[in-house]
Amino acid sequence: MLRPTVLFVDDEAHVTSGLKRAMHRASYRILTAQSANDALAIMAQQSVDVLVADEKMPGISGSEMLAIARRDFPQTMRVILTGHATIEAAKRAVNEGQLHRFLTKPCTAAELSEAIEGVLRQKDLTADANIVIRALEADAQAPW
Amino acid sequence: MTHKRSGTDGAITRKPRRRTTLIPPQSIAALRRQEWELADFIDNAAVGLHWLGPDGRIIWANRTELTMLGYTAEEYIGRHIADFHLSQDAVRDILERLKRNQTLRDYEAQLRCKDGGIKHVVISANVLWLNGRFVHTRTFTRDITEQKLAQQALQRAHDELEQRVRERTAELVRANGELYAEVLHRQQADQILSRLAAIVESSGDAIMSLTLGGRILTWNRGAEQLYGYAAEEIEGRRIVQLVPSERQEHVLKLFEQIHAGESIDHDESICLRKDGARVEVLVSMWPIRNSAGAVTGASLIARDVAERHRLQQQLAQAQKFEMIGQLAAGIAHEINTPVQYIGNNIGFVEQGFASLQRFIVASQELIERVRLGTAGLEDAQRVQALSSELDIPYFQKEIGDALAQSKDGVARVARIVRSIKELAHPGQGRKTPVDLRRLIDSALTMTRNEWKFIADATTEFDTDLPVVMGIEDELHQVLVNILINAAQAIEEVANDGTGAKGEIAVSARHDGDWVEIRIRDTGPGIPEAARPKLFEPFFTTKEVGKGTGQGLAIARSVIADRHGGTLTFTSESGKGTTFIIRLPAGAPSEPAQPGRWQDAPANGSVRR
Repeated sequence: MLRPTVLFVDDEAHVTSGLKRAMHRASYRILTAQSANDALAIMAQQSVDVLVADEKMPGISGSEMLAIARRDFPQTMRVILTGHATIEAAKRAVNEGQLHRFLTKPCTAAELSEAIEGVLRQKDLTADANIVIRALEADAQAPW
Repeated sequence: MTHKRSGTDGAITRKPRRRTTLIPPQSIAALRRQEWELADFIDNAAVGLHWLGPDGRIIWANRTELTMLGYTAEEYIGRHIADFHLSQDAVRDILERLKRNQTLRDYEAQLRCKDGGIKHVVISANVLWLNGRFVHTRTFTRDITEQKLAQQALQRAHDELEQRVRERTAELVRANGELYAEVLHRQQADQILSRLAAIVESSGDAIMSLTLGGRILTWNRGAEQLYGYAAEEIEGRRIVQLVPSERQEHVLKLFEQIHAGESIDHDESICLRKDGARVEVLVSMWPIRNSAGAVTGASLIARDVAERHRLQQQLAQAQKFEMIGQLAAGIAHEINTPVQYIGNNIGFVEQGFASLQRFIVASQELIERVRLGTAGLEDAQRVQALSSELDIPYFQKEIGDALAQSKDGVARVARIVRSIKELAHPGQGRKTPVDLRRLIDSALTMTRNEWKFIADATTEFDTDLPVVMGIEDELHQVLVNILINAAQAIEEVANDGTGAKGEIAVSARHDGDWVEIRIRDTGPGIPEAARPKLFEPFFTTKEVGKGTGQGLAIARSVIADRHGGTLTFTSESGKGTTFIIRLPAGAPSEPAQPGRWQDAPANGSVRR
């Protein structure tokens, strides 16, 4: 099986390089982007399993990007990693981005790995469920 | 004619009249004598007498009349009476009346004397008629000249007196009027005085009057409360009793100023209460002058400013927390972000150190074997394999960056924490030399998260920028307030679709005795209607949660009241707003370079 791909998005390069170092032992392929636009461009070119985004960024915010990603790349799991959790940001991320995890900085490597593992399992389950659903649907269309 | 009493019954009886028909010779002699006596009597009568014929000519006059007028009988008798009268009308009138058989009584007339003098006379006259024929007048002329003159003199005296009375009366009326006005004036003055006294007495400020020697003459209730002395305890004592010893010389100087006729406006001072406590006061003094304009004493007003300061500080402190609350999200972000990568990097370095240690141990063993000559090629290959197994090249490449970036992050956190501390710490309210460059940098750090996505910030400082004597945390608060406003203003136009960043330009210049700080934003400008109310407390155009309208009110109070400076603004619709802070300059500080405001670079210092 292919190594899962994780994309970290933060306007501060120090943050993404720190995350990359923290995750270097994990078995993911790690990509980084410094803005929502860069991140969406990457996603358009290659499949991304988990998107981990900062909330407060110039231009498109994290939750706004999650909403776009949900529409354009529904297979990608969505995680917010924000420096300051406001109710407003959390509401936007849940309602519009339908995110899978909400993390706040500072977040340890262990917490982050656990969250990524968690959403990957969720993604697998969803994928399995989708296979079952499709099979059932196929059966429903041809019952005999 | 004689009356006789007769009888005893008391009745009066009249004797019958006897008629003499014959006159004896001895009787003729007696008659002659009688006639002479009569003539003499008439001649020397007290009044002038004359007879006038029907034609008005003088038939006869007695000596008295001649003497009165100074004529001889020849000069007088036979002349027409009109020749002697001053008024021909009077003569005509007299003669007319007499001819009509009237009797004149005390008819006033004026007669001409021989010497040219005039005699005032009164005339009484009638006519002796005989069988209806005008025989002659019987004219009695009494000289009243002296009387008349006396009368005239009297009249004059009387007139004079009346005139004087009138004059005196007028004078009295005038004096009375003046007196009345004076009384009215006094009454009004009294009213004003009592009103003033009531004001002085009810004033919360201490108000006293003093001699030039500094002795207390009067002392109001406000003074009793401020200083703790009752009026009767302190009146007559010297003011220096209320002044701490180290300030007494200063007070003497104030009195010298008063002596020179100058007043003292809001002198910041310390006074001593009766209980020994020291109270911060603002003192104003004025010379008291006498009517000649000479300075004879001083009036003094002292206001307890500690209470006001305390309230102002409390309000400023409350606003400060409100401001920090507003900045909380940004500050949290500013701290948590570096902490995030510091934590990640430390974890990474920790792993790297463990790997390196294992690799070092393996390498040392290899070295030892090589030294003993027991090392084989496979040993070297194993160590090499270990290196890639332990990610040694990756750690070698990354650890340096991880540490450098962590150092950056630590500097950033330290900077913002210091800024918060500077701002949030309630100051002592004391003025110290303030380096505005550092303060402006600190305020930009505090507010960075409010503007960093929507604006670039630049700073420009004069190379000879002096320090200002200021209350640091309060000035910091002012700058942060204005920068928050600038960021919020720019945010209003930031999402206009052009994607262009706004600008916050902060400059500090040396301008004579002043330092001028300008904070310019490229926001939409302040609406015309809001401009006059901008510095009013509780005035805000911001949505709920973005400010309670205290910031600029406190900023102005801090700059104007606490630092003797000014806070103004210029604003242009669609172009932006510039706030201008002017503060009295202190001594010059070390030079600085203009520059683009930046985050703390790796070496931890700030390029300006």
